[in-house]
Amino acid sequence: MSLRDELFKKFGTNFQSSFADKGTLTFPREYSFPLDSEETTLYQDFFFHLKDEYRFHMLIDICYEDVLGEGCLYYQFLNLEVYFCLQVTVPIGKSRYFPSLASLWKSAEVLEEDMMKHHHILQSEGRKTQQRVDLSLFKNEDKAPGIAPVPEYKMPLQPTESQRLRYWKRFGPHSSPFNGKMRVDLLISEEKVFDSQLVTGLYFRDFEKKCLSKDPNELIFFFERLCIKDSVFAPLLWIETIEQRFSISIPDKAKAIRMVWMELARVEGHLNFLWELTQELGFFVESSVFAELLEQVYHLFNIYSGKTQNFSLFTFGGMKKQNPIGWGTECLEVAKYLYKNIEDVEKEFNRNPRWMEVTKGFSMNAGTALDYGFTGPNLRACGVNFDTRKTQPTYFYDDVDFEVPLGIDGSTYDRFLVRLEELKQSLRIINQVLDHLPAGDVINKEHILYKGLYDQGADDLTYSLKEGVIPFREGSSFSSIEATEGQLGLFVRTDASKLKKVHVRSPSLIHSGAFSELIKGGELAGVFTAFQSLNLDPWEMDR
Amino acid sequence: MKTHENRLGPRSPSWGGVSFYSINSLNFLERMKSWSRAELLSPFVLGANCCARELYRLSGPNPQVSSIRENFLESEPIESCDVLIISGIINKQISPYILEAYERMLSPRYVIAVGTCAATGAVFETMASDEILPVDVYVGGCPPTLDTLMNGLDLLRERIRKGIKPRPQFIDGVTYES
Repeated sequence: MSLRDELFKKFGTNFQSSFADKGTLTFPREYSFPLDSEETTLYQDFFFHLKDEYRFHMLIDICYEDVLGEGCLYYQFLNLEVYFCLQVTVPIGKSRYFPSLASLWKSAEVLEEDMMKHHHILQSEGRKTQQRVDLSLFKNEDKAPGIAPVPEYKMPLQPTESQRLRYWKRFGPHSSPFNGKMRVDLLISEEKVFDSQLVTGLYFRDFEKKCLSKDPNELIFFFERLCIKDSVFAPLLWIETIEQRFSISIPDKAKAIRMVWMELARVEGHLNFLWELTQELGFFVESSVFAELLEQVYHLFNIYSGKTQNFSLFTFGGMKKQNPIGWGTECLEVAKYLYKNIEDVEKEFNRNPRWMEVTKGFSMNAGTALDYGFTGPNLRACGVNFDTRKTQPTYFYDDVDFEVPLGIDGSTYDRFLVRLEELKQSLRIINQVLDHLPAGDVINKEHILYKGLYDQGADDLTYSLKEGVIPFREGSSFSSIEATEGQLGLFVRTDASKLKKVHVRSPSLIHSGAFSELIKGGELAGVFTAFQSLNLDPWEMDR
Repeated sequence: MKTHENRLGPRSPSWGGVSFYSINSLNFLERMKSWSRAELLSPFVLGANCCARELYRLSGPNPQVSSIRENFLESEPIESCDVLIISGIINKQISPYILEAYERMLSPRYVIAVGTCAATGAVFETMASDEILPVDVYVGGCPPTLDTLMNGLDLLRERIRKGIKPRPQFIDGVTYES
């Protein structure tokens, strides 16, 4: 009996599923209770049941929506054995409190906190959380938050010798490993680190709320500026959700070119990571090689769009324009050049005892990584074979031959190696796709949005989407894409006429939750390397 | 520490006209001083965003950047820098840290706002860098191209060479020289 049938049998009409790998479950009536009360065991029992019996080992995302004072929670769970994504909807009414799931999934801690900061709702259980900037300060125009003081270490009554020497110290946002990214407070004693606090929120710009006042067409450009590591995956995710809603099909050539762009973005992201890491550790010769390879990729971007970042390439129903003449061959040549150079650099790193020494340690086992909700190369470095390009192949990923590199113990060195190998695999994919590039047009001109755009004039598409002339399909959907750093997710709920809720599942935010456990007891110099190796994106985290 | 209440007052007459600062009005020592200052800028980049990535390309192996390579990557402490390059959005959370960096820098200190977010606050409807600091040079673009960035730096160099002082701060109606 498949998992889908089991869920049907257990929950009956509460469970709905129209796809083989997706389903929605409304919180059953028999579990419901006044959520204002302190009674949380029933609520947690239900979710424990989901985790234990139906093997939903990963909590991917939590989202809160407020409709006219009535709150609603959306949990996204993932079963890795048979790839199945379950959305659990919990109406919590006018209550401002809800029970925490942090005891069941560790990823809930950082997700719940993020949600609390955005919506001013509280949990019923008080617990120690990481320090973040309080968003309620935004309401008061006169008061600006100053620099938060460094916390004081409370010594126990009978301290040991190492405890007597402990103190909190602030790092960043001006100093080198955290330059501009975030501020990190560390509890140090004799060059060893015992605890940490991330102070994020420096790039908070209310992205999700501002999305609601924009047109769907405008949002493509808005989503390009969501992440800073690449500007391909986020707009593509938005376009894919709209294409699913209106059931727009895209031509084969557009699919192939989108694949090439996704892999190019992955190459760019990983090269940037390698460049940053080698720069930070003082391997300047290698870092200059990576910088040169990056310039080659930027050269390709420049030919196509005249820019190196935030290029507007995609549109609903395909690509905006055909490839420039000769771009394909240029791309193949660059791929060949990159592959050769990366192999050379890899040999250098394999022989280098200094590199091995600098990047050792800070390992994480697979179970903990899954509990924290890791995805992408950070999870694969721990040895978990999970890549949505293999489990849920979109476009032509089914027909392409590539491998998913895995690490052993999830140390800093493994995180570096997995990315280096993935880079080569991406180049392999680009080669295969460009060799068999289909002929034809790159945009589907038959679909309803295109007709709205060109038959009625350019302004009318946005008008008609806004005013409900072309109606949205009502309902909510959660879709995700295998981005450079992990699964980038997007939760969208639409009314009949317009967007009601946009929520982004940021992989960097979830990876940051494991930081304080990862570095516990490590050397101070290694902590900075471990921070770099997680590859956090502050713009995506703070939104 | 001076807080977010820094606002730019009206332009003072001594600040405005270019003819006042023509290079002939400086004596030899002043000219020498401004020349040396212009030739060896030590910029400090604050920000980890698309504009900063574009800035770091200036010190990389790029054929476009043939004349002058900037040393953005050599990590100098803020205390020895005299040009602050702000990139990325500015909100109430990050502004105290920017002001902190500004106050730790060498005097006279110049400020460049790079990118549409920092210069005008347009993309995400956030604060502009004007609202917290006196800005000398604005560089537009989302992100700005390499040419625009180089032009912006050249503009600052030209201003320093002519002996133009950095814009002063106005706090509660009192002028403070930067």
